[in-house]
Amino acid sequence: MLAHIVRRVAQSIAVLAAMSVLVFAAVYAVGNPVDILVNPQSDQADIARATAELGLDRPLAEQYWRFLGRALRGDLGRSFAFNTPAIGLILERLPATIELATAAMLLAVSLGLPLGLWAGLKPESAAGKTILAGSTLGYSLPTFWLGLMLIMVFSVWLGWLPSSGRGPTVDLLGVPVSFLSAEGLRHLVLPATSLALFNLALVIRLTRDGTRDALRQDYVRFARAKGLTERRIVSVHVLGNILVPIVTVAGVEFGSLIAFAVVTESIFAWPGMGKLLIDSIGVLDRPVIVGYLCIVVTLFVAINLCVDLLYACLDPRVRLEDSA
Amino acid sequence: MTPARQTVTAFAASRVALAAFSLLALLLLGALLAPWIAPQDPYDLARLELLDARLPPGSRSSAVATYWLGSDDQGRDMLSAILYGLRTSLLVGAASTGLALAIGVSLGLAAAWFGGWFEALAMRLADLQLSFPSILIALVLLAVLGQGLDKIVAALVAVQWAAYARTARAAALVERRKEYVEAAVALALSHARIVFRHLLPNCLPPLVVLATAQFAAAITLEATLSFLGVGLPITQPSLGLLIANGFTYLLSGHYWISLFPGLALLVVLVCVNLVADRLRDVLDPRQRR
Amino acid sequence: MRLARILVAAAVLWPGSAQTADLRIGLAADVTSMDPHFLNLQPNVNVSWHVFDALTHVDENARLIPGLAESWRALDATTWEFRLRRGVRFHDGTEFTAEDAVFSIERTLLVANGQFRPFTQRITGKQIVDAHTLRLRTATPYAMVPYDLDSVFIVSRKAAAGARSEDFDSGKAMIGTGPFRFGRFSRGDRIELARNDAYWGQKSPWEKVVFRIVPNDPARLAGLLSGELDAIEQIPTADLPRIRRDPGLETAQKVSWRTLFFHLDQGHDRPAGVGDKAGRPLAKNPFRDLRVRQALSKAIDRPAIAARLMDGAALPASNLVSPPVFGYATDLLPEPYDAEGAKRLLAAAGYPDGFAMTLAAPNNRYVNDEQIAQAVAQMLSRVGLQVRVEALPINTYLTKGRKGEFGFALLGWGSFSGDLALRSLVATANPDKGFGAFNWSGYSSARVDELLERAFASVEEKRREALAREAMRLAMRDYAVIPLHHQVATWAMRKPLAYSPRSDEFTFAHHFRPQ
Repeated sequence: MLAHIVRRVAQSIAVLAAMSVLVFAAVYAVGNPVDILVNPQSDQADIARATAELGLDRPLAEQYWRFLGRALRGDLGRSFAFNTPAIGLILERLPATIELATAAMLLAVSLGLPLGLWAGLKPESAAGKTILAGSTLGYSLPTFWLGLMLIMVFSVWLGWLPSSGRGPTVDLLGVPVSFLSAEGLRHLVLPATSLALFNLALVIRLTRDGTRDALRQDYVRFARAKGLTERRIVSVHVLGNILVPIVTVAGVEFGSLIAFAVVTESIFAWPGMGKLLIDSIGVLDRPVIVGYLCIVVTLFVAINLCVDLLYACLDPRVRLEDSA
Repeated sequence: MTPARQTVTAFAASRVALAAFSLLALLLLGALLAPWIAPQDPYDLARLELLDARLPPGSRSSAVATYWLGSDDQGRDMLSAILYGLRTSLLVGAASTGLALAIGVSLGLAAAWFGGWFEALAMRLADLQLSFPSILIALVLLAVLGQGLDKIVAALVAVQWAAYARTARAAALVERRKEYVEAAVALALSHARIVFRHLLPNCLPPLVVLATAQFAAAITLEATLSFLGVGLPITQPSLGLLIANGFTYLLSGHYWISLFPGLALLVVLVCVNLVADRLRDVLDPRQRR
Repeated sequence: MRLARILVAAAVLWPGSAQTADLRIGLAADVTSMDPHFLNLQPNVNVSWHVFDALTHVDENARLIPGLAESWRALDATTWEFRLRRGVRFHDGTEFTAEDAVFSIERTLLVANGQFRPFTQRITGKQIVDAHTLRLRTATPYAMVPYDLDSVFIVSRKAAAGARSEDFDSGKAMIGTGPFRFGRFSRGDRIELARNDAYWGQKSPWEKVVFRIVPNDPARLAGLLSGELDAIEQIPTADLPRIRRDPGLETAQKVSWRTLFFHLDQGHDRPAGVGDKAGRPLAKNPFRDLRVRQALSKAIDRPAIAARLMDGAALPASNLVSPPVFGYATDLLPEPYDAEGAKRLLAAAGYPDGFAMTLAAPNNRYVNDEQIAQAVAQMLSRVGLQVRVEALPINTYLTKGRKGEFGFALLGWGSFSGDLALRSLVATANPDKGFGAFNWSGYSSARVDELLERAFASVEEKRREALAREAMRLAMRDYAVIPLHHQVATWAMRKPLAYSPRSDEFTFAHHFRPQ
C-alpha cells in the first residue's frame, strides 16, 4: 500500500520535472513575453530592460536552474502579467473550477444512474431506446459546440439563464462559492450542463451495461426465484454490481473534468483556473503555466490515490498492485 | 464462414449500424472527392469575392451558381468549405489514429513478447500518459509546437498511443499462452514472424473497437483544440475551425456559418460512435450473448 | 397570495433592468492588475482611470485637457511648470499635493517590469515650488512631457508608500482622487466600484458600477441582449446592423486612435516569404521599388473591407494616426482602389506576372485581424500576386516581427500624436535615440528622421504639429508602410442609456448618462 503511494508520487514528480522543462523550452522558443506586455511607446532600451528585469535575457539553462532553486523552496515566481505570486493566483481560481467540476459530476451521476438503470431494466421499451440513443448523441457532441448551442438557446433566444461569469459568490468556510445563492446557481447551470454531458452519457452507458450484466447473473436469477421484490433486487444486487465501476469512472473522470473545464471556462467566461491557463498561454506567462501544471498534477495524484483507496474498500478482491 | 465474414454479417444485422456505416462511407467519399465535387475551391483566394460575404443559404452569385449553404465572411461557399473541412478533419483523425495505432501496437506487442525492463518502461510510460487528460497534454504540446496539420497529428498521437499499447499488450499476453504460439516458438519461427503473423491478427478485435472509438475522439479533440485557437491554421480549416470562425456570427443571425459545419461534425461523430458501438457488441466476447 | 410569492421569487431570480442606480458594464479584455503603474494595457488603464486621476487628461478626441493640473507651460525648452488643482482630496480624505505627484512619478520607475517608465524616465529634475506648483526638467528639450503625464496616475503617497501590486489588488493601496472609490477586484470576473461623492470634476450618475470581464465576443453580446449587462464595449462588427435595428438598444461609435497598416520589409535583401511563383528567391527585394509599394497599396480595396468585412466599423486610412489625433495630415487621402493601375505599376517595375509573398497577421489582436488578412490576400492575388496568409497568435507574432521574420505584415498602432507613431514605426532604427523600435519595414529616410527630431524638441505646439505633419506626408508619399484603416470603436447599451464615445477606446462608467 505505502509502496504504491510512494511510486505514484515519484512518478508524478518525474512528470512534473519533464513538463516544466518542456514549458520552459516552449516559452523560450515561442516568443518573448515582453513583446506582448511592453508599452508601445517603449524604445529598444526599454524592451531590453524589461526583458532583463524578468530574467529572460539569460541562457535557458540558467533560467531553469534559478526556477528550480526557488521552486524547491515553494516559490514558483511572480506572474509576468499579474505581478503577484503565481501559486496564489492559481489557488485563488481553484475553487471556481472545483465547484464547476463537482457540479458537473453530481449532475452526471444523479441523472445518469437512474436513466441508465431504466435503460438497463427495460432495454426494449421506447424510453430505454431513447435513453440509449440520447447517450450516443451525448458522447458524440463536442463540449464546446454544446456550450455554444446552450448559450444561443437559453441565453439569447429564451433569455432564461445568464451566459457568462460566475455571478455573486457566498463565502463558505472562507471559500467563495456560487451554489448557495439563487443568482449564483443560475450562473452555474449552463456551464455545468455543458461540462456534464459527456460524463452523463458515460454513466448511462456504464449503468445500463452493468445492469444488464447483473440481470444475467445467477445470483439475481436465484433472488428472483426466491421471490424477492424487484425493488430489493435492483437496490441490493444490481446497484451493488455497478457501484464499483461507477465510482472508478467518477473518480478518474473528475480529473478530466478539471482539464476539460479549460474549454467550458473559456466559453462561459467562468473565472476558473482553466481560463487562467488559456490566458497565460496567450501572453506566455511562464510562471503561471508552470504553476498550473504543478497544481493540476498534484490534484490528479490525490484524486488517483483516493480512487485507488475507494476501490480497495468497495471491492475487497482488489489488491493495490500495478498491473505489470 | 471465416471470422471476418462472420463479423460482417453480425455487424450488418443491426440496421442502425448499417445506416451509420453507409452514411459515413458517403461522407468519406464526399471528403475524398471534394476537389472534384465542391462547387468552388474555397482556398483559392483569387476566386473568392468579398462582396458575396455572409450570404444566406440559397443565395445566387456570380462566381458560384448558388450558395446552397450560404457563404462565410470571405464570400466562401459554405458547402465547399464544409467538404474541404470534412476532408481535413477526417485526414487528421485517420492520420493520428493510424500512427498512434502503429506505434502503440508495436510497443504493446513488443512489451508482451520481450517482457522485462522494456515492458516495465513502456507500460509505465503508458500509465503516465493515461493518468493525464488528453486535452491538457495536447494543449501544452501545441502551445510549444505552434499551429499546423503535422503538429496537431503529432499531438494527437502523443495522447493516443498509450491506450493501444495497453490493449495490445493485454490481448497479446492472453494469446501468448495459447498452444499455437507455443507451437510456433517450438518450430523456431522468427520473433517478428510469430508476432506479426500469428499474435497480431488474433489481437485485432479489441484493437479495431478501440481504434474506431479513438478515431471519433481524435476528431473531437482536434475540433476542440482548433476552437481554442491552438490547432490548425485558418488557411487549412477543419470543421472545428469553421465552427469557431462562425461562432462570431452566430448571434448576428448568420447562423449558417457555424451551424452547418457543426451539424456535419456531429453527424460524423454520431456515425463513427454508432459503428464503434456495434463493433464492440460484435467483437467483444464479454458482450456476446 | 401564491401569485405574489411567485412574482417575488421571479424578481429575485431575474436581475433588475437598467432603471436602477447601478451600472453593469461588460469589458472585452481581462484586467490583469489594479496597480496603476504596472502594465500599460488598455483594460488595466481603463480601470485605473476610474479610481485615479492624472495631472493631464485627454478628451474624447484624444486632445490634451487639464486634469489634476489646472494649467501648465514651458518655462524654457527643458522646464515645465504645472499648477495643480486646489482642494482635491483622496478617497481617504487627505489632500492632494505636489508631493503625491512626485511620489507617483518616482513609483513608476520602481515597479519591477513596470511599463510606465517610458513616460517618466526623461524627467531628470522634480522641484516642488509649493504644495500646488510643480516644476519638471528634462535633460534635452522634450515636448511630450504634458502628453506623457496623461499616462501617469497619481496615487496617494500615504496609502501607496511601499505598496506592492498585491496591495492594489486587495484594495489597501487603491486610494486615488478619481470619480469612483474602489470596491472589490475579483480577478478574471469583475471589478466593483462606488461613486466618489467628493469628486472634483463631473460626478458619476451611478452609485455603484460593476465591470464584468467577458472577453468572449458572443458571450458579451449575449449578456447585453439578455439584460445581465447594461452596456458593453467592442461590439462584434457583424452584429452592428442587428443591434442598430434593436429598438431596446443604443449604440455609440467613434473613430479610434488605432490604425492598422502593413509593414513591407525594405531592409533585407531577401525579405521573408517573398520569391517567384516557383518558390525561388527574387534577384532583388521588390519592396525596395517605390512602384511595387504603390501597386500593393492600390490593389487594396479599402472601402470594401470597411463596408463588408468591418460592417462600417473602420475608416480607410491615409495616415499612421487617425483624424482627431495631433499631427494628422489632412491633405493626405486614402489610396483609391485601382487594380488596373496596380498591374501597370507591377509590370513597369519588372513583375508583369507578379511574384509570390507571405502575408503575416496576428489572429487574436485587432478587430477581425485574421479576416482582414485573408481579404487583403484575396485582393492582392487579383493583381497577379500569389499570396499565402500566415495568421499567428500574438504571443509568437510580435517576437517574430521584431526579429524581422516577416516580409509583409499587418500591425496596429494607437498613438497620442503623429510624430510619436512615426518615431516607433518609420524612423531609422537607432537604439541610442530610441528611434524605430517597431520599424519592421527597415525603412530609412534621413529627412523624416530630421523632421521628427526637430518636432520632439519643439515645445511650441503649432510648430511641432507642422513638423509632425510634414514628416507624416513624406513617409506616406514614400509608402514607408501601407496604411489600411482606422478602427472605429463601438459601444452598445440598453435604452435609455447614452455614452459619449472616445477615440482612445476607453469605457468610462461616469460618461454613461441616463437620458
